[in-house]
Amino acid sequence: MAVIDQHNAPAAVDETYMPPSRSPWAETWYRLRRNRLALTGLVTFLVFFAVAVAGLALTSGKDPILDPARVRLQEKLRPPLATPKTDALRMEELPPLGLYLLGTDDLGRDVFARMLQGAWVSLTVGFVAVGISVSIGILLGGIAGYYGRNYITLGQLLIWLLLASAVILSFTAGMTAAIILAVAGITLLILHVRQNRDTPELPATIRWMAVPTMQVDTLIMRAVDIMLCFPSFFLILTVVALLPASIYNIMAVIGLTSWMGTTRFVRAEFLSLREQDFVAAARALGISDLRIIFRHIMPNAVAPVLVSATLGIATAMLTEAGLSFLGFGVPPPHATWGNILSDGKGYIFDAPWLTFAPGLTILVVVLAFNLFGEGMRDILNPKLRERN
Amino acid sequence: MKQSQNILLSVEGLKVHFLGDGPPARAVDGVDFTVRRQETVCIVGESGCGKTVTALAILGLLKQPPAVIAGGRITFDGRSLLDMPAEALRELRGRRIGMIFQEPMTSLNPVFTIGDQIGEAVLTHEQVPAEAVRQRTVRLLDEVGIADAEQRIQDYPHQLSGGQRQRVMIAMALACEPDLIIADEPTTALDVTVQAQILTLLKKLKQEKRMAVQYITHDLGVVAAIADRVYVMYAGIVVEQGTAGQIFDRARHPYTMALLDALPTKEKRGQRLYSIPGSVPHPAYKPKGCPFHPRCRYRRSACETVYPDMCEYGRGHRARCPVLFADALQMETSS
Amino acid sequence: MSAPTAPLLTVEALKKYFPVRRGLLQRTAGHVKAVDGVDFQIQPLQTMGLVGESGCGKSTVARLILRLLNPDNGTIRFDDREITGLDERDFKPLRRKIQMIFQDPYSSLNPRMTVAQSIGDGVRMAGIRDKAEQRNRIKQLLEMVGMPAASADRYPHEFSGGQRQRVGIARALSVSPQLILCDEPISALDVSIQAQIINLLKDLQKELGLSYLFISHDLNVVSYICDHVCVMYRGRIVESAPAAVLFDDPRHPYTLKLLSAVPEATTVGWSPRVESERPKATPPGGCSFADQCPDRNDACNQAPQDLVRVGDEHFVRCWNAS
Repeated sequence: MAVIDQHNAPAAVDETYMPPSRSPWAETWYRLRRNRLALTGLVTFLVFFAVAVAGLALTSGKDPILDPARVRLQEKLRPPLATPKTDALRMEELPPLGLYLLGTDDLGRDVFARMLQGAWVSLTVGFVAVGISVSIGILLGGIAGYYGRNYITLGQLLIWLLLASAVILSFTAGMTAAIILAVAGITLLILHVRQNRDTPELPATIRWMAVPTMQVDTLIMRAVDIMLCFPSFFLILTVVALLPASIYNIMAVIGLTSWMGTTRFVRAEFLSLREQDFVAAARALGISDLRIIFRHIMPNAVAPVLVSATLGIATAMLTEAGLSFLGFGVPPPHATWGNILSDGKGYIFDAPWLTFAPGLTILVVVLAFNLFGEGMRDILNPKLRERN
Repeated sequence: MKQSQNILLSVEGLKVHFLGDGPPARAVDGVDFTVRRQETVCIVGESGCGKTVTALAILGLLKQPPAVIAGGRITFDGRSLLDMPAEALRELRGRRIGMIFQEPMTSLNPVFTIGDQIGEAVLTHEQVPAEAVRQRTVRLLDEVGIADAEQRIQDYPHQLSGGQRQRVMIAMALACEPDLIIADEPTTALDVTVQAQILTLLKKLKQEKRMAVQYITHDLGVVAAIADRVYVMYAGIVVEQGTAGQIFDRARHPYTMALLDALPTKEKRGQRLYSIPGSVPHPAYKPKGCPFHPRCRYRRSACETVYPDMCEYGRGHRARCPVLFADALQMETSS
Repeated sequence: MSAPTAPLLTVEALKKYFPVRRGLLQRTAGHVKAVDGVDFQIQPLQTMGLVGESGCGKSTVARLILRLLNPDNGTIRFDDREITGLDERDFKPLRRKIQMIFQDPYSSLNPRMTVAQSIGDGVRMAGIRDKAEQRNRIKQLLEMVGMPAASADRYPHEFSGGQRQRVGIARALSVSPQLILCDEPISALDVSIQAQIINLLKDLQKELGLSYLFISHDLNVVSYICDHVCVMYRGRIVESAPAAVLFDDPRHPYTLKLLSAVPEATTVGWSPRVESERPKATPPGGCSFADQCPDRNDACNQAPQDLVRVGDEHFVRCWNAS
């Protein structure tokens, strides 16, 4: 029997003559390791993260090891790496490192300690602001992308308008008006929900509530367009000028004014993903909308969102630095990179380290985030990958 | 001697490897074939068998890196293409070798009219006055069967159907009256009725313009319809070659036979189709010996280690399998 | 297959028009009549072929049956229950009975889910709650489609097109359907793989008692696998007949044109019957094929013809056929 019959043909053909197996995450990590610039960005970011956390531990508390607020007027504008004049200082005024690593400012405060304190501010502002904007963006973008073709009825529109204006009014003067509006809104809401639950046929009195007005997608995307019309930095300036200066307000304001890009992004991803056959297959199996959104669509949409979030962190940090530089940011004496830069601008020729230390740090950190983000975009986008 | 003058394109021992992660992917692994003047040669094979890479290598359009030409020679009309400077090769492309690609949707630039695009194909290689270019464009469109060519040169690609776009692509390939047209799956994206029109057109033009066609496809039906000679490729090598009649009526390689047996037709209704087990090997992880042996129903132990030789079956019919028709082979060599 | 049993699926006067929106206000400027009055039945254990060229509406029919789209008109009855009017809650138990296999094995599997997760979705929907039981069922399904159990924890990108198509079939089988809509299930696959999938579909049909709606543009495959064939042209069925009859005795000029255009590997040096590409101008309201029809006469321009019975189970929509 020279000839082997078909039934004995090897079954494991594919195992033997295929490249080794890798999960999508392992594949991403493998490609990241080969992309030097992105890897540099990631390492820089991790170092920055470690420094910021260490900075928080070293500079906060009642009696911090490195006190960013300690004023030593006799030691002002010392250059970097200068050793303190031990005779002029009291024991507790001596810098614990034995030297001023990045010099001192016009009040004799240790710039290194202030930079450490500012690192934590930059980090939290970046992450919290982007956290806010990405959450809003994913929510609105997801709704616009998945439910975009549904119409909003007149009833729904009215309910939301009433409730929203009630909330706004309760913050400003008219409390009575707010309560009236809220009651009206809630009544309508109850009517609406009961109608939907009990009978699909509406009685004539409230049939107008079911009149379709506009598509969900139209509403959300026009809101995005309107938000994008404002020059956002000046919008932030205005809001910050009205609100009490605090680091939390800054985070919230930056977050609330920068969700539009993510929204557009997520919407586009959802629109293309919901037309994919695997979503059709999931719907054919009878899987619920929520599970389709979170289990099937979101994991595929999240990669590009993470990329834009990385770039967004860099932008948020720049915005915070810009606000602090202009004096609208985190109030003194708390140090941020922006206000160190701002304080230093008067001494740019006498004490250039006051400008260069925060300036270069901002440059390096923002650049690292951008490199990492751009790198991840290349790595996660299969179309760009083929081109290389 | 007359034979060798007749040969327009010859590829000898061509090897193209792709370097990347892991071992090099040997996409084309020693391919020999020839295209004679005024002949339609079909290169048939499944995706990943190296047929498109071979065509790109001939045209000098491989991206290097990641591709590397690891060996072999390509000769067109007596000149070696691999040693030719880029400038000369570009001159040759379009002027002497025309190309038609698979996707008529993306091969045309959406922001120029089709008249502009065909005109550009003419002007790239010849200095002709504008009016002559226009006349030539109209004539070309007319030749490829586009109605009202005078008006249609103003159209943008999106105004044309898929079949019409492919006709425009053919007109562009014909612009400089090339000796050879390389067509890479030009009808795969089209409906069968449109495919029939395009195939008929190609046959007619080949007659009229006395040009050779190298036609790359995976569709055995198309091959039977248009080919003078056929090369069957598998895993980067040619496994069988011959005239269309030889390949379809007297296939001598197990892979070709398996492909023909696996085709569903109405005559086979009720019978079980033969199916080739497994799938095409990854070009970087090809089996030793005969690359087809793991899927072959006639394999012997020798197939796992020995790379098979081309066996001669007379009148240009060759198959790279010394096992299947060993008896017939001996008879032919002895007689 | 002309047994007097009740049909599994009945589609009647099915219509779907897609609005064409233009301009700033997205006003509806017209309609694309994707499906324009389609009727057919699928008997239990039957393979019904739906043939036509791209854009003829054959995929839309499948999406309407699955309720991925809502029809504008017409009824769909499955197992003698009308499913067109049902709301999602009442339709849910029936949904499992109809599944779909898709054309593109690359977009039909979620790239971020392992094979086990993809199939597991369906296994859960079939009501299997216990983890170990789910695992067993996944293994059993993979075995059914000829995939090694070890492939369960791999991701789709590690498989070839044919293997992905097998996984897609396993997913469709996970809810034990009676009817599977196959939307060009093999046209994206390599020649050597197509036969594997065709054989698999036929084996599964025998083992599990499935019915298929087999949508394809490849007439060779349809002639091999289908029991009954409907030819669609511009949203309508123009000819419907048992496969043997349709391929041996086609009556509609469009069917003739399609059949003559198919190159067959058995005929070397084929030449098709190609009419001039130039369509003749025809008044609207007549037969939709009149502009390309070689045999048209005045009647064709007057009114669209109904499906006319020309033989046992053989219907043709043509004035010249009767």
